Amino acid sequence: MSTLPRTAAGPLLRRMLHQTHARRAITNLEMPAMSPTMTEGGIASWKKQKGDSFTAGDVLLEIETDKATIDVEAQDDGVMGMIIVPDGTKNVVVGKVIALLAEEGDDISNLQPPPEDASSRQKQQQQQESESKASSSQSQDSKPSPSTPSAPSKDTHSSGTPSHSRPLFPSVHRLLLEHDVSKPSEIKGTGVRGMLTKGDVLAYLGMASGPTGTYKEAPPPAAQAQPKKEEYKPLDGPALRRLIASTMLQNSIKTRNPSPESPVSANFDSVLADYLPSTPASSSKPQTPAPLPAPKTTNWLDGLF
Amino acid sequence: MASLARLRVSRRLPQLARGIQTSADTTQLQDAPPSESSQPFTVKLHEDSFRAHNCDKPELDVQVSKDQLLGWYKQMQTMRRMEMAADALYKAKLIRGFCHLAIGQEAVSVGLEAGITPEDRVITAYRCHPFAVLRGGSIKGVIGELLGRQVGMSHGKGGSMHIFTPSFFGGNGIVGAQVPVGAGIAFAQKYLEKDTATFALYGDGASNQGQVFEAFNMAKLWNLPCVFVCENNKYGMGTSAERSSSNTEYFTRGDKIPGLQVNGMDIIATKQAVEYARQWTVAEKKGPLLLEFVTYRYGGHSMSDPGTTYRTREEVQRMRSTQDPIRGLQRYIEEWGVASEQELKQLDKEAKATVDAAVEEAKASPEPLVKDLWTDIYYKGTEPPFMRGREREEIHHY
Repeated sequence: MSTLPRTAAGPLLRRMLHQTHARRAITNLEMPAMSPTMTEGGIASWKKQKGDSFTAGDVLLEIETDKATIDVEAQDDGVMGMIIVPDGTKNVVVGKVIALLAEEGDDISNLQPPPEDASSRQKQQQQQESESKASSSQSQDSKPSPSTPSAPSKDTHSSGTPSHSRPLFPSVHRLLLEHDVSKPSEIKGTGVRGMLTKGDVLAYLGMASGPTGTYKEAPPPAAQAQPKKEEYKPLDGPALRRLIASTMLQNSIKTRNPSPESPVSANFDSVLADYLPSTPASSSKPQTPAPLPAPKTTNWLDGLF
Repeated sequence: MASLARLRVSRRLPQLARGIQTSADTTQLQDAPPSESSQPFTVKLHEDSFRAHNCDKPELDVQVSKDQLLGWYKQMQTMRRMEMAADALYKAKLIRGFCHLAIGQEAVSVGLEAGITPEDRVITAYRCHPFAVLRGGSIKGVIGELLGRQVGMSHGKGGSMHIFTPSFFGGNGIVGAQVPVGAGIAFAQKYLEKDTATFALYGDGASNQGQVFEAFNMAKLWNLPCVFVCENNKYGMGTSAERSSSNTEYFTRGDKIPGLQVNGMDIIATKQAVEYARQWTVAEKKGPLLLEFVTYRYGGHSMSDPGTTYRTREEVQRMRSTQDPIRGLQRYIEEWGVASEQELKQLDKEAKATVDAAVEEAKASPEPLVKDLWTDIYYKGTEPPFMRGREREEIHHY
C-alpha cells in the first residue's frame, strides 16, 4: 500500500494551514513503566533525535530496567520535538516527562520543557491525600465489621434457620432443624474451636450417651513398650572386663578339658595340612582322622609319656 | 497504481492454493457514490476476500453509503484511541493487572457491530474492550472498569474480564470457556423463539480447546442459531498458529459445520461476512456457521508482553504500514471521494477528544467503597445470612 502521494502533499499542506496550531500538538512523553513492578529506570539510548520523524510502532528509545533493556515504541506518527532527559541518565522515576513529541509539520524550534516539578509535586500530593483519605475511611469501615462477629449472634426464631456463633456442619444443621432445637447456643460445642458436633447435639437431645458415644480409645500400648526396653546398653569399663575375663575362663576350660569332638592327631602332616592348599594327597588326610577320634580321645596323653 | 497494488498483493501470498488476501485496501468502486450521503452505492470486494468450506461465498458486490463509511471510520478510530489510552494508562501504572489490547483488530469489532442488530448476542474472551463499548457500553465505563473506579461497568470490581451489557456477555477469563457458553446463549434464543443470532468469538490459540468442539457438536446437533467466530491474529500469546495447530485453516475445523474465512482487515469484507452469517443462521435457519477473521494485533498478547520476542519488529511495522484497517478505510474514503483528508483529520481529532474526555472522567471517579465488597455477589434479596471475607474474622451479615 503506497503512502507516497499522501505524505508528500500532507506536511506541506499542514505546514501552510496549521502554523497557528503548532503549540497545541505537543505531547509529553512520560517515562513508561515497562513492567508492573518498575518504579524507576534509566535511559539507555535515544533512537530518535530532535527533528527526526517517526511512525507508529517505531522505536523511540531504549529503557534500562533492573531486569532488562526494553525498547519503547511510539504510539502515533510524529516528530521528536525535544529530548529532556538525555542518554545515560539513571534513576528516572516512572511518570517523569522525558521528551516532547510533536506532530508532523509543527514548529519545534522553540520548545521548552514543561514546568514539570510543580505539576508532578501537585499530582503526588493529591495522590497522597487521596490515599490517606481512602486508608482512613477504610480503617473506620473495618473497625465496625470485626466487632459485629464478636457480638453474640442473633437467637433463632423457630421458623428461621438455626444459627450459632461458630459455623454449623450440615449434619448438625439438619439435626437442629429436624428436632426444632430453639437455642443451639446453649449446646456446648466440643469440636474444633468450639464448633458444634453431631455428637454434641445428639447428647443434648438425649439420643446418645455423650458427645463421643460408645467410642473407646485403644489402650495405650504399654505392653508393647516393655519388651522393647531391653535395649543393648553400651558396655562400660567393668562390664568389658567381665566379658574379657569370662571369655578367657571359657577358653582355658576348653583347653584343659577339650571337647570329645576335637580331633587330636599329632601327626606333623596333618598339622601342615591346615596351611597347605588342598591337594589330592592331603584331601584324603582329613578323612582319615575323622573315624580316629572316637578311640583316641582317652589316650591323648599316650603320645606325651 | 491500483494494478500495481494488485500485483503486489498476489505476490505476498504463498501461491500453492489460492489463499486469502489480507490487505485492507483492495475493494474497488463500482459506481460513483451519489451526492446524497445516506444513499447506497456499490463496491466490489477483492475475489480473494473469502474462502468457503461447504458453503457458498458471500456476494462480492456490497452496498455501502457515505454515512456508513464515515461512521465506521470514526468508530474504528475511537476504538484505536481508547486502546492506546489504556496502553498509556497501564504504562503510567494507573491500570494494574491484566490488560489485553486489540490494536489492529478494530475492523473485526466494528464490522461485527455493523452487520448485526442490537438484540443479537455477542460473547468473547478478554480482548473485549471495543466489543463492550460498541454493544451498548461507554468508553468511560470501560476505562473506568480498567482503572478500578466506581464509574466502571462492573463498578470497578471486575476488570476487563468482567464487563457486561444486556447483549454482551463479556469479557471471559478462561481460554475458550466462552464458546460453550455462547452455544448456550444461542440455545436460549432458540428456546425463547427469538429471531436473533449469537456470536461466540474465540482466538486461534483457543481453537484447539476441547470444549470448543463440544460446543460445535451440540450446536450442529440441535441446529442452534450460533455463529462461531475465530479471530485469527496468527499468534496465540507467543506461539504462532503454525506451531500450535496442525490445521491452521480454522474455518474448516467445524467438521460438519460450514465455514467461511474472511479478510479481517477490510471492514467492508468483514461486514459483508457478518451479514451473510446472520442471514444463514436467523433467516435461512441453516444452523451454526464458522467464521474465521484473519487479522493481526500490533501490540503484544497483553501489556506484559512486548510482542517482539516471537516475531520481528519488521513484521509488525510491515503490517502496520500495509494492512492497517483504519488506513485502508481512509484510502477508500479518499479515493472514492466520500470525504476529504481534512474531514477525516477532523474525525480523528473528534475521536481523540472523545476518548481523552472519557479518560479524564474515569480518572476523576472515586474507587469503590469498602462496603461494595459485599454487594453484587448475590441477586438482591437472595443473599445468605452472612458472607465470609478475606480473613476468618471478616464476616458480613446481610
